[in-house]
Amino acid sequence: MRRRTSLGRALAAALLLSLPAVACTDEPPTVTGVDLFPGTLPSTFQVILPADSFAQRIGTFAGYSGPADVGYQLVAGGFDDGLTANTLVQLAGFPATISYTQGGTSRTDTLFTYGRGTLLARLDTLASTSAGPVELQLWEVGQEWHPASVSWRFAVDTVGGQVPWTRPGVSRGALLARATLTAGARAQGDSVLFALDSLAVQRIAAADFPGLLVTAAGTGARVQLGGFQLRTGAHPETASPDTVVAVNVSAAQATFVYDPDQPTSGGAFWEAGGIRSARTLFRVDLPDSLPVCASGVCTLVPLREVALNEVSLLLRPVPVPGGFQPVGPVATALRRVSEPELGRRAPLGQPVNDVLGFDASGQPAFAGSRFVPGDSVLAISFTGFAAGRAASDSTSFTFALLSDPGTLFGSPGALSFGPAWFAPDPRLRIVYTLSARPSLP
Amino acid sequence: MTQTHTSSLRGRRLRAASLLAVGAALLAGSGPAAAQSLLASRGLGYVNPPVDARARGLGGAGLALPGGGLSLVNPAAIAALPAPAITVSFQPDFYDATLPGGESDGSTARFPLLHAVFPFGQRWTFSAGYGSFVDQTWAVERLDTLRLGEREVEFTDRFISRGGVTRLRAGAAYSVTERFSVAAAADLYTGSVRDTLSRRFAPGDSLLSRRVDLAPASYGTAFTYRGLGAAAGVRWVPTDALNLAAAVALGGTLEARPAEGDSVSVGRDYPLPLTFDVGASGRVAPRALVVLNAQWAGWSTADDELAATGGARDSWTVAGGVEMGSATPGQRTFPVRVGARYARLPFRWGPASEGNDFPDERALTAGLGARLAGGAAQVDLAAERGWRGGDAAALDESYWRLGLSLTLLGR
Repeated sequence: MRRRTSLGRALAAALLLSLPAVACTDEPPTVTGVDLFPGTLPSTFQVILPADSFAQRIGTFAGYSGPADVGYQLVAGGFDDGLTANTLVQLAGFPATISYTQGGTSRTDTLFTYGRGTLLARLDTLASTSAGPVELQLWEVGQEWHPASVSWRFAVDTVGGQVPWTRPGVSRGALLARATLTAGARAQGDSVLFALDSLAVQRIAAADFPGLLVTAAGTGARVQLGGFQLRTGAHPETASPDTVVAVNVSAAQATFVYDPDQPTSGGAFWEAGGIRSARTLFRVDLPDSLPVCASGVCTLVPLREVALNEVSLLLRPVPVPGGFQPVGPVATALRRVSEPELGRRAPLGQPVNDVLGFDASGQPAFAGSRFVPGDSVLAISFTGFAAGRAASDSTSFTFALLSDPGTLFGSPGALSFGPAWFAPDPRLRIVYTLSARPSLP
Repeated sequence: MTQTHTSSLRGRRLRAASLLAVGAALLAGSGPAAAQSLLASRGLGYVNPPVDARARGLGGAGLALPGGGLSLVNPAAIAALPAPAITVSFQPDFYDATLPGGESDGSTARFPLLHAVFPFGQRWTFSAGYGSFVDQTWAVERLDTLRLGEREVEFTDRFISRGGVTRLRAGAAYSVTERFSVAAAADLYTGSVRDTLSRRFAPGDSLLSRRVDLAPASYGTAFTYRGLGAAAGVRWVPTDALNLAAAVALGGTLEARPAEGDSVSVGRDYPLPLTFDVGASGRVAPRALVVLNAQWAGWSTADDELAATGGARDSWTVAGGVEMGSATPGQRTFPVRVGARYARLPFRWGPASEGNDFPDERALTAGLGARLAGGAAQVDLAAERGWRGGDAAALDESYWRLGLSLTLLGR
């Protein structure tokens, strides 16, 4: 009897151990490679519509952003036969006292002198370009300026009045340092270093110091910087001669001025993005029906009776003149516009770009969000949005084509300085599947 | 005496109500069941008898067991039960299938039986239960490529059928004598199946800037099943060592109708088979019981309706087994069982025009039981090793099927 009981327990244990294997799955028995499909298999088709059959351009607008809205600074010297840009920096946070330890005693001194220092600027190599070595020059700004309103022509441009630069593109004071990107802007390491002597550091630390100016000597370079820090040392007067206390000071204000302004094609092209955030509004009319062909015979099937696999706007990039050609990725987006009659003041709805997946950090990857201007065609898919509209029989709507890194990347700092321009012949690619309904045996 | 009888009757009713509540909770928690064979894709599905693990361990021969039984085959089997009872069965399946051009394996689990019984007075016994009938859960998929302009895109088509038909039965058995009982039951065939046909595409260009993913396309339809049937059975114990039983089940028309709001799909009607079961058991030794069963089901009545998927034939099954263990009522016992079964299955794998034949099923079974608490609780385990197919059946399938039944008597 004991033997049978043990056998029973063993069988019961085996059964119970088998339960998780079958209870945790709801996958039905699946046959592969065998044609057991009931009824007709799905059929997938593709049509590409020309611009005049689905799109109507409403207008192009710009001026929604400027240097104060991006997280980088630009330096260029006659780049691409046109663009010049200078960066302005104000450092803040110089200490009023220096604390140090000497002979085991902590001391604080209000009298101290600065030694040599280094101004460090972070270099964005992907957004920078040059034909060869680049020399950057660091100047003292020649007059007071207003960080929020400063421009190429004006040091101050507020409601209270305008103060022009004595020299367009920022008045220059003393030349403080030079730095050379010997391998070119793209091949350089991730930072630029300006070596400063003690007198220059002492001057920069002065309360009446108007700020720093970074310019490019020569032509053919466009350098994108972000983040400035001055690293130096201070020697308290009462301390022993070899006592130096490290002092690091970051930029409180940093911006740039540039000339000329972002170009416009005057309606010849579709424009998106750039430092001035161009956008092109256009109306889309999805077709009411789509062709379904079998054995050489085609019929039209209502749009709502097919499954939309892809609805993509196909855009053909064209060069942007005047030094504004994007050199890095452009985050291109389509956003709904429900009141297009408001023109440049029309509010924007949510992006409709399809989400292609998620990266390792969980951030969504949007269709079209990493368009590189060197690509021959940009495809922005908005299949999910189009399928919803087709299901509700509301197949006409208005989009804004723009660069939208703030939404697509979560950081407005990714806004490309140069805009993307596209030929005025966009196409609409529709991939769709038609299937018979499954039927009873 | 009368007062005592009334009290006993009320207590039995309360216990029966408790057992039914337990059963309802188990049923509600069972969730969707998956199929146990690729034959779920043929005809009306894979036919799964609503038997408990005791019968399963005896090859499926549970029609004429001494002391009755709770399988949902013979409505008269419940007449021998001395007290309110409920049983629930759990059945995992593991299978490997080979067919022209493909192989498949998988594991599934289901609850094929839930049955509650309530004796009323000295002669009547009522029952209500749920049992498996046909299973239609299966899937098929294929991989292919298509050209869209300059793009070549890989895709996978997948058809999934989920659902099946179950049988709800309410019955009453009447003990004419202690050795002879008759019974009748009403069957409600109910269920649903949801068919989904989808096409999914492989991801697009690996270069994110050029990537465009194609959204999947999916089409679904749902059908509900309804049908009525009736069953009758007898149980005869001519001697203490011999039990005989027979049952007949008459199915009406199984109506398959599209879900509400679906004006496109078309419903169909399928005639349900007339089924005969006969069984016997004999105690050939004090500790040895031999059981035999045979069943015939007239599935060929649905041949015309199922012709497109291979048609249907009348099926029959023979099963037998031996149970080794004490026959003393109320004694704590641990019976051991072995059995075998051979069945001619009703639905063909592929069209007859392609030379396909109907498949058979062969199985060897074994089981263990434990009667505990003076017979108030009974646990049965079963293991079945089987093969399906045939020389020209196209499909060859081997499987392991396990069974677990828990039976409680309201003593």
